[in-house]
Amino acid sequence: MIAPETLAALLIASGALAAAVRLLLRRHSWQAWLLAALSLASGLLLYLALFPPLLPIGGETLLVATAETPAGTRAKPGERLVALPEAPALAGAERVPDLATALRRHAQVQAIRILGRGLTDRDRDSDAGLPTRFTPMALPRGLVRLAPPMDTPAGSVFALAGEAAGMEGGTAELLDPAGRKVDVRVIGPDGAFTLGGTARVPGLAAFTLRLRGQDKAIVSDTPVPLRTLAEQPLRALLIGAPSPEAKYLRRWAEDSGIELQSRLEAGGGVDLGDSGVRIDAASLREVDVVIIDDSALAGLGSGGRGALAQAVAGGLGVVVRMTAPASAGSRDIWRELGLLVEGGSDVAPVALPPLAPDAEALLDRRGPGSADVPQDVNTIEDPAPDLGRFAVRTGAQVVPVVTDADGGMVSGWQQRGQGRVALWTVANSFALVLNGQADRYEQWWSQTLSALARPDSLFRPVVPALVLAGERMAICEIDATARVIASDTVEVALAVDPAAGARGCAAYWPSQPGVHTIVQTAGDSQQTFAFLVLPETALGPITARETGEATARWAAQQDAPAARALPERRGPAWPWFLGWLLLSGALWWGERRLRANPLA
Amino acid sequence: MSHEVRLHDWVRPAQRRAASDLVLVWSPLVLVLGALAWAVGGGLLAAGVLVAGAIALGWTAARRMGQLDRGWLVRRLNAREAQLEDSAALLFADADLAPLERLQADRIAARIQSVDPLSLADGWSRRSIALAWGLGAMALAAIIVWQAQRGAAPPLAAVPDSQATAPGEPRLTGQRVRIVPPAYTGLPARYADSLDIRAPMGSRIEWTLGFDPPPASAALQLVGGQRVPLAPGDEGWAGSLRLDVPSLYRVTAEGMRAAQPSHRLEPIADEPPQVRVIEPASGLVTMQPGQRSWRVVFEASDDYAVDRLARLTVTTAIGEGENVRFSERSQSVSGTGDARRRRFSIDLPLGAYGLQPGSDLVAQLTVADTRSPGPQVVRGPGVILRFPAPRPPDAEGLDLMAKQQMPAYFRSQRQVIIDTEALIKQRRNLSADEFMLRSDTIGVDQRLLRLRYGQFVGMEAEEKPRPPLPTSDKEAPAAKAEPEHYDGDGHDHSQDRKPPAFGALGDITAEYGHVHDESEAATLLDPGTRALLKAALDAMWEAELNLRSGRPEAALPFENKALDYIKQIQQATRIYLPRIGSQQPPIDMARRLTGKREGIVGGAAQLTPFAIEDAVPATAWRALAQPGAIDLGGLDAWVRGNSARIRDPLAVLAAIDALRAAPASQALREQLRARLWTVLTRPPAQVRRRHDGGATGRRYVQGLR
Repeated sequence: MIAPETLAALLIASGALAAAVRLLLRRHSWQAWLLAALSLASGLLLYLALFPPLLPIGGETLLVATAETPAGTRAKPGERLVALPEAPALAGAERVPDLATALRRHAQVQAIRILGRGLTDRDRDSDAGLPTRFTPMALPRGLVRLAPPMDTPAGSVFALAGEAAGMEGGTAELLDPAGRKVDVRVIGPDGAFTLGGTARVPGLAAFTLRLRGQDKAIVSDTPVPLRTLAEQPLRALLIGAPSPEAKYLRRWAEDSGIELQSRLEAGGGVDLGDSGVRIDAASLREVDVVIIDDSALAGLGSGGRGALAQAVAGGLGVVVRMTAPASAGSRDIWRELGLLVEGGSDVAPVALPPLAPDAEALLDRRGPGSADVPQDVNTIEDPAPDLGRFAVRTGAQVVPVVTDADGGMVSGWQQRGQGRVALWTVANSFALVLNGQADRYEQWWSQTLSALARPDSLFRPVVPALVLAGERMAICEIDATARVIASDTVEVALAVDPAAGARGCAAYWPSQPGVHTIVQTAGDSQQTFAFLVLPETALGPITARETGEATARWAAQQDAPAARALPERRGPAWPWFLGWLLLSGALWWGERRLRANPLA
Repeated sequence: MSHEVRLHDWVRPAQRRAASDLVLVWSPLVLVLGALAWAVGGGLLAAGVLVAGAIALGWTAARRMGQLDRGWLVRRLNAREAQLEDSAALLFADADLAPLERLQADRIAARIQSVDPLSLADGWSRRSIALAWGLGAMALAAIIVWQAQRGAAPPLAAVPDSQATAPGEPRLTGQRVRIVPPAYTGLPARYADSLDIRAPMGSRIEWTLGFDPPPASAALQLVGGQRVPLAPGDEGWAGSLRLDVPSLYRVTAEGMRAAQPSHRLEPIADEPPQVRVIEPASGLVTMQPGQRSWRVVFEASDDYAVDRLARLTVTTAIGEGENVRFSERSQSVSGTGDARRRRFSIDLPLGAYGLQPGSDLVAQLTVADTRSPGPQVVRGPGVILRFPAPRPPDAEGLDLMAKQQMPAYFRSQRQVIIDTEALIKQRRNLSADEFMLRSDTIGVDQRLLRLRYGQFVGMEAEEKPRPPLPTSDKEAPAAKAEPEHYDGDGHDHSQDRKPPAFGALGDITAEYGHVHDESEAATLLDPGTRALLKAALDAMWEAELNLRSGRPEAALPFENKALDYIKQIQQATRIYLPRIGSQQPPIDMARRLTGKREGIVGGAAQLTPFAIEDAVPATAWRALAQPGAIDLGGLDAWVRGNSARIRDPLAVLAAIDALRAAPASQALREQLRARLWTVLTRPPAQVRRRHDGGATGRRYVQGLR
């Protein structure tokens, strides 16, 4: 089927050509030539009057005012100003409940320009279909980025990262729930900082991130939730020779609730550990992690090592503790287990970062002491011990868990099957305990074993790290029995979205701040998981930055050609029609003159 | 020739008059000063001031009397008595007179009989005396009135924030809290500024409270504890309590409806005394040949008072190798000096202990403070006197098997730093000279410390204390040597050389040269330790230099650096086994030498979990996050039971109490939860198992090859 434009063009062109040729056949003068050209032009104008060209005709631009739009904003000619609910009061602006309503009311607009901080989630859900311009505002002064700590084991160290805008020379302080300063950093030119603290018993604590300007005035206080989960006791097996390291490992395991069995060969068939520890497939299935020193591993024999390697593939974690420089033989043994490292025969010093920024912060991090270990027995001035690590070289397949201040690997693991094998490169790490840094020693081992141990499938729903009241959130990894108990004891059953597939996600819209609990029934037991909902305004500059960035991305998508599916509009036809009329009139008059005066 | 006119008779009356006049005029001032001293400093000071005043008055009077001499008398006689014809000088002349002069003198001598010597004296200065005594009496009266007022109790102080009360409801209008510390502290009674009280433990607290309108009865309610009823008195309601445990209290009166704010009762615990060794300067002293007695000086300090009597324990370890006998004797010694800082100096007669070469004598002082009941007894550091053992014969190849450890008996560099910091802080209150003096004193301390550490790198001793091990320094000065090497600089060659013995051929250095370092102590330190020690000594030297030139601020960084080095050294070589009583496990003779290993492990190594009982606050802390009732009673009891460990138990108790009064308040729950965080102990870092990623995660890992 031929398009109407083409048909019309063919007809008009043939008509105009016929008229011009006829004129030229009858006369051979310059007038005839002029009239022929005019008739061709008239044909063209006729076509344009019928089908006006797709000229870029400037339609109306929709000015969308969002939060923090400058007060003096006015619509210029060709613009129309609408204000979204979060925008401030603007003279001459039309209030709309959302962007979609504005677009529906003003179907004639050709472009959108967004003013202020940007569109909220509500308006970014669907495309506007119009070219959109948006210039993000400068970041507000204060905390613009916050990575809150992950779920932390009880008693462990946690870290959080953040970024502040316009705060160079100020300080970022971490206050514990009692309001005591546990860490402090000076904010550099790039604004990024990391802070650390220690967790206590399982529960949900709210730390505070306080920013101070150069003049020490408080700029902002941001709540930082810290979740500490109660864990199933870990089942560990310690194999090696009696040594200080074994002694302090057992002490730590006993105190931190690890079910530890040990086999400590004192030579001559004397075992100082628990008797009856065997290494075979059946007994290794009952163990989550094995800590074995390198010589004990070599002495296991190929059968024992084979059983261990099998168990690793089935999910067991194994820590190989180096007590001597690595040799080619020992590296081969490790390779059988699934750990590929090179080197390890030289000793490099371990650079220990300070435990806390100052003495007061260290006391607050350690918490109250006991009768046996008074709080003031170890001070921050005590010198750090000299530790040495065997400098092993690893590829990308080995993931470091504990590193020293210079990035040297203290321990790192490699995946094999469902399990992991790790290498502990510090032979004298027990010296930390002897020098009053038992907390660092425990932290290192805790991190290593946490990365290593056989995985479990506890109830751990996935919730966003920072949840604000009044904002919709997604809760994943739940089943149909899950419900949320809000801080005011109102219970809401969660409806799992079938579209989310196997992840089992549901939406939840917290209405007020406080501790919310997800409860899920499994069999006859109830599993709970708590999360903290922050007040709506808690993350002001962070929300502003996120809104700005998301709006900029959204606006860029609107500009992209793919999104421009709207039918193109033709320009007005009357100018062309007028031109055609005038030209046709002139042509008619010219032809009459020519006919009336054939000899001219 | 009888003009025996004695000058003395003529001058004496005038002198007496002048002296008594002066004393009468000025003695009121002395009396007033004495009274002031009595009011401010007590009887002793008053007596001192009076004596000093009397001496000053006496001296001035004597000066005044001395001015009334012959010249004065002659001038006065000539001026007053015309009949003497200006010739009085002749009567009192010492020298022989010319005949004419003698004639005139005789004439005058007859006339002078009619003159009364007393008439020559100046009259009483009545006006000054009256004025002085009048003013003195007024001043004395003022002092007496002032003293009388000071002894009386001040009026009740207003209570700052009275709550709004309904009409007719009793309201606390005035308070006065008197704190009477226990007698042994020697502190005077004082009045507290507010109802929050901090006082020495065992103090008696006396409240006097005013209410408006007067209630029927009133009491002090200790939070979670007893009730102290108040008795009405002249000034208000009074009651008292002995302050022993920290607690909170609130004032209640019959008819009060609103919840009253709670106040703190915080005792300040008595610190145990501290013992410091003054002499000898190092913890280990080598006995000098022929030494008969050993002088040990300890200094004990306490926050209130150190008991005058202390016990000195002398432990001797006599013998060598495994054959060491221990014996312990103790004796009472009495200290001198200020009660808060007593010095105990003891001269130990060494003959009584029967020391032999290679034996040790350890002296330790046990002091007590005056706390009652139950004085706190503290055993101080021990100082060791070592009878040097004869050098063991040299053995080839054993160098590395015997590692000489540096003894860890040091006075602390940290103390020097603390002293310096204190001095810098007090700088504004000290005169320049005093500041310099104190800085210099710390400098001396620093120097002693430097010398002591210096011994271990063989620093040639500048003076006593000598290195603990023998050197080739000789005792008596020798003849003059070349200018660079003078006597006693350590470069002398040993003269009191022992006769060569068979087999003692190794000691070439001692025979022909001299060692610059300690053969025992220094060369056996590993090079790293030696380098550290040297660096520490350099820093100490700089610190000493700055201290002694009165710039403690400049010295502080060096002191800190030195401390850092010393700490590193001590960490490196801190192995010190005291030679005091050891108990070996008994030997099982039945098993000995059988070679059987069965059952030699005494039960599998069992560990006792080292757990801190904080389940109660942990449960409460979790429960407070959600609405619901809290076991405040249990929490309260737990905090009271553990208050010794917690830094500020009263703050937690106050938060518990506030919540108990208003259980529904969300803000108070939050506050208590925040307080509980300070109470929670940090458990040993636990292990968090990784998540297996659910079914998807497991499939993914299985797919990895």
